[in-house]
Amino acid sequence: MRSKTKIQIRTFFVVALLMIMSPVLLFSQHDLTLYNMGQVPQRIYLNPAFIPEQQAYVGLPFLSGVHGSVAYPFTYNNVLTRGVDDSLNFEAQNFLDKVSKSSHVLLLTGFDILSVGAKIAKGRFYINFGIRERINENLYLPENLFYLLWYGNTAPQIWGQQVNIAPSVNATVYDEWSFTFAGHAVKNKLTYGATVKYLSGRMNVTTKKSEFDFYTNPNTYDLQMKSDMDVQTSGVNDISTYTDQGTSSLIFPANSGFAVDFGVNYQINDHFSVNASVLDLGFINWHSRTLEFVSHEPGKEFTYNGMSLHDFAGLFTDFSKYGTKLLDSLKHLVHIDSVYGKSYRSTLPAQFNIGGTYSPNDKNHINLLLNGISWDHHFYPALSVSYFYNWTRHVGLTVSYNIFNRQFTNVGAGISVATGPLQFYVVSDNIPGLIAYRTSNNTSVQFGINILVQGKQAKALPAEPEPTVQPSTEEPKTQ
Amino acid sequence: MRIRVFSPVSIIFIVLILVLTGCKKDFDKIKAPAWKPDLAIPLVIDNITFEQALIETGTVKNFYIDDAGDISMLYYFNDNAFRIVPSDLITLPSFPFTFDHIVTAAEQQQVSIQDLNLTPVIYTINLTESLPGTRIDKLLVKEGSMVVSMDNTFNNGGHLVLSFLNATKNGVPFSYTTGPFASGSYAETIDLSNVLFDLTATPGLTQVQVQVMLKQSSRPVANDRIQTGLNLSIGEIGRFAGYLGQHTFTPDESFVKLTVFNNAYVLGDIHFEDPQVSITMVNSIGIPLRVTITDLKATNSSSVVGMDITSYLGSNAVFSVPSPDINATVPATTTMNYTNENTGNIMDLLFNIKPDRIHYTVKTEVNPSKAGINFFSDTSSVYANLMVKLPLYGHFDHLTAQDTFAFSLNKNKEIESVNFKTFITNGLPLQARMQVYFVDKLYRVIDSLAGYNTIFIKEAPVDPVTHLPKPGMFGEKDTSFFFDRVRMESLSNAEHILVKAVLNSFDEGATNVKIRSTQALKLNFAAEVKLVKNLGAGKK
Repeated sequence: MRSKTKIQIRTFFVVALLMIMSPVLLFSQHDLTLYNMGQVPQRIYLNPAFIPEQQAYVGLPFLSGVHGSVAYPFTYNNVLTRGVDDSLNFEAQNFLDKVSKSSHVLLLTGFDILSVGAKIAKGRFYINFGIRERINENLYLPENLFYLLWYGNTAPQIWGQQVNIAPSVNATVYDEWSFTFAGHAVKNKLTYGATVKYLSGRMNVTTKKSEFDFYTNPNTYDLQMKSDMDVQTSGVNDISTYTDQGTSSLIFPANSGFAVDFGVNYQINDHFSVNASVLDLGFINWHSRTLEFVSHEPGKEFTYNGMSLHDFAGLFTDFSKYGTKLLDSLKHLVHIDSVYGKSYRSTLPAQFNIGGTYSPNDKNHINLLLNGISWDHHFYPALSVSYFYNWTRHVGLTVSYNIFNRQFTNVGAGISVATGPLQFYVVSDNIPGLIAYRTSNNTSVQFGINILVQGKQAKALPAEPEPTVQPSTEEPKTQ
Repeated sequence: MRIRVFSPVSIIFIVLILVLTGCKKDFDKIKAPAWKPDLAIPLVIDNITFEQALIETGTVKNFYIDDAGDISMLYYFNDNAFRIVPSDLITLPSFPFTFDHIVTAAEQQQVSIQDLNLTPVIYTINLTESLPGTRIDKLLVKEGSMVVSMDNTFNNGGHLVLSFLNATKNGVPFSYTTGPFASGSYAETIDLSNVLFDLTATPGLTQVQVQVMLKQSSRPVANDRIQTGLNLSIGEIGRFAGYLGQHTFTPDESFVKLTVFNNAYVLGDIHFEDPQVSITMVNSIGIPLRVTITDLKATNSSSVVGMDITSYLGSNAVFSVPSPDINATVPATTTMNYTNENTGNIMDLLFNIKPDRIHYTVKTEVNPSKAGINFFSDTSSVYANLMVKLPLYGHFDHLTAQDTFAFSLNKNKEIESVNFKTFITNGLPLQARMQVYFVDKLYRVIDSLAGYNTIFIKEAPVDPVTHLPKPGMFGEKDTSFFFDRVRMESLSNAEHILVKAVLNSFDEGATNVKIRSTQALKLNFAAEVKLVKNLGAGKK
C-alpha cells in the first residue's frame, strides 16, 4: 500500500493552492447576526430548537441560503500604499506583520441546495429537511514561512534559529443531508430540537502532523531540516478527473459520515429567554481516492551542506541551475512517501452557541450571544450583541455588534422581507467591511429566498399558563 | 412599500459591484513588487584527496596504494610489441610423399574372382628434419591436414586405407578410408585437427601405412595404375612436448610514456625519493629463459635530453626466468626492480631530466643451458612488461597546476551582490598559492577572485621524521570575496575561469614529504547572495 515513488505533484499543487489562496480569500463565518434574526427559517441550522414562526417553508433550491464571506489577515491599507503617481505599492513588511499576528484562518461556508420545514401535530412539533453543500477550511500559515520566502533565510526572525515553517491545512467539502425534529415541552417554556445528519464527503485534506523545522548555520550556511509530516487527502490527487466519475459516485462518493446538532431554548418569563446549541458533532470516514503524504523518516534531522566540487564546477556555465539542483537535493533529503488507498477519519469543526434574549415587548428583542468554534485543537470565540426589531409579520430588522477574529469593529445588520409567499433575507456580520473595504479585513453576506406558508400561527407557541384547578384540553391559542 | 422592500437589496448589490469594480481598478495600479531576498546558501562540501585530484584532472591514470596508504603513480608498457609465441619457436613444414601401384595380370585374375587386399606400404616421416636441435615427443595438432591427390586409370568399388601408426584421435588409432577408386584425377583432404602424435618411442618420426583394397570386378585390368600424391601439413600446434632448441630474441626498442602532472611537472619540479623501474617477464611457455636488459634510457622530448643508464645496471642487467611447471595453471613471472638502492642511485639520474619516456630493449635467450623438457599449448607466450613506479615521496617545488573551465554568468542583473566565502582545511603536506581568473573569450583577464593577491593555503605541519603531516594538524584558510553589482556586471563578458595553483612542500620545496591516500583537502564554500527580482505582477 505504501508507495515510495515520486510525490504526486498534482496533489501537492492543489494542496499548495489551497494554502496560497487562503490568505487572499479567507472565509470566516460565525453566523452571529443570523442566529437571533427572527422570521428567517434558516435559523434552525444554528439552533435546532429555533422553530420557525411560519407554518411551513420551502427554500428556493440553491438560493435559500447562500453564504459569502471574505476575510483577510490584513486590510487593504495595511499592504497597499498609494504613490505620488497614483500607483500602488505592495508593503511586504506590513503584510508579514499582519500575517504574523493572525496565522490561523477559518473557512466555514456553503449554500443550501434544498431546505424544507413544517410544523406538525398542530404546531407541537416541527420537522425540517435540508440538503446543504458545505466547505470548511482551517489553515495555519506560519509567519516564518513568509519571512523565509520573502526575505530569505538571513531574515533576523529566522537567522540562526530553528523555526517551523510547515503550514497546515484542514479542509473538507461535503454534502449534508439533515433531518431536524423539534418540539415544545415544560408547558411550552422549553423548546428543544435535534438534527441528525448524513454526510457525504467530496474532498478532504487533514493535517495530522505538520512539522518542518528549518535552521541555517550562521557560520557555514548549512541548511538543517527535520520533518514530521502526515497529511491525509481524499479526492484531491486526481482532481482534474473528478467529474469523470459516474453520477452515483459524484453524489455519494463513498465517504460517509454522521453528525448531530442539539439545541434548546427556555422561556424564563415573558421577557427573558436563554438558549444554547451545539452543532456538527460528527465525523466523516474517507475511503475514496485517498492519498496520504507522510515523512519517510519522521523526526530525523538532515543537512544540506553543498555539492561536490565536481558538481559545482558543472554549474560554471549556468549558475541559474543552482536553484534546481538545490531543490532536487532538498527533495531527495526530505523524502515524503505517498501512501494510496489508506482510509481515515476526519472530524467536523464543532460549534457552540449560548445566548439570551431580553424582549420588553413582542417587537423589540435584545440579544447576547457567545459563540465558539472548536477545530484542530484551537478554539475560535466570538461575541455578539444584537437588537432585533420585529416590525411587522413580514418585515424584520436587526443590527449587531460582533467581536470575532480579534476584530472589534464589526457592526452587522440584517433584514428579512416577505411579500406574498416569498421571503427575501440578507444579513451580514460586518457591514462596514462591505463599504470601507480598504480598512476592513473581513466581511460577510448571507442571503436567501424562501417560500413561506404563514398560516394562522405566525408566531411560536406561547408558554402555557400555570395549571389551576383543571388542566385545559384545548389547544393553546396563539396571538 | 415595495420601494422600501427592495432598497436594502439594491444598496447591497450596488456596494458589492462598487467594491469589486474598485478592487479590479486598483489591482491594475499595483506596481510590480521587487523581491529582494538575502540568501545564505552552502555551495560546496568536498573532501578531495590527492589521489582524487589526480584522477579528476586526468593527470595520472594508474595508482598503487599500499597498506600504509602510500601512493605511487604507475606507468606501464604492456602491449604486444614484445611477445614470444609458440610459432616463433617451432614451425613445421609440409611433408609430401607418393604412393604408386601398377596392376599386374595376376592381380587382374584374382580381382575378377574375389576381393583383393594388396600388401600395405609404410612411410616414415621425420617431422624435425628441418629443425636441427629440436625434439618432438608429443604433438597435438590444432590445425592440420593431409591432402590425398589421386590419378587412376580405372573404376572400382575398392578404396585406399591410410593408417597413422603412432597417432590417435580422441584415444582411438587414427586412420582414413578414401572413397571408391575412380578413373581420372581427384583429391580428398583428411582433417588432422585434434590428432595426437605420440612420438616418445621414436622422437620426431611418424609413420603412415597405405593399403589398397579392390572389390571383385572386371576392372582393373593389367597395367591399370593407381597414382597417389600425399602431403602432410601441420599448420598450428595445439600442444607440444619435447625440446625446442636454443633461440635468441631481440625485439625492437619499446618505451613507456610518462605524464607526471602534465604541465605542472614541466613548470615546476618534483624530486622523487624512490623512483623505480621494473621489468616483469611473464612466461607461460615451458621453456627456461635468460633475459638481458640491453638498453634502458630516459628521454625528455622538450629539452631533447637523454640519459642512458644501461651500463650502470651491471649484473642486474641479466636475470633468469624459469619455466613454469608442466601442471601449472598460471605463468611463471619474474620481476627485476631497478631502484636507487640496487643501482647506486642511478635512478635519480634517470628522473632528474624529467623524462617523458623511458625506453627499454631486452634480449631473451631460450633454453640457455641447452637441456630440459619444453612444452607449450597454443595459448602460451612469453612477454615483458615495463613499469615505472613513482612513489609520491619527495619534495615538490613550484609544481604549477592550471586548469580552465567554461563560465557564463547569465541573469547577473538579478544579483545585487555576492559574498563568497571559503573554508579550507588542508591535510596535505603541500602549501598552495591559488588564484582564480575570470577571462573573456580571448583569455584576457577581466577580474580575479583575490584581486592582486593570491590565496595562500598553508600546508599541514610535517613531522620531520616520518615526512608525514602531524596527526590531527591541518593548514586552515578562511576567506571572503565580495562581488558588488558593478563587479558582477563586469563578469558578464567572462567566458572562462582559469584556476592556477602553485604547490610547494615546506621550505620552498626543500623538505621531503610523503603523500598518502588519506590526506585530503577539505573544502567548504558558501555564499550570501542578495537578489533583486521584479515579480512582474500588476502594472509595471
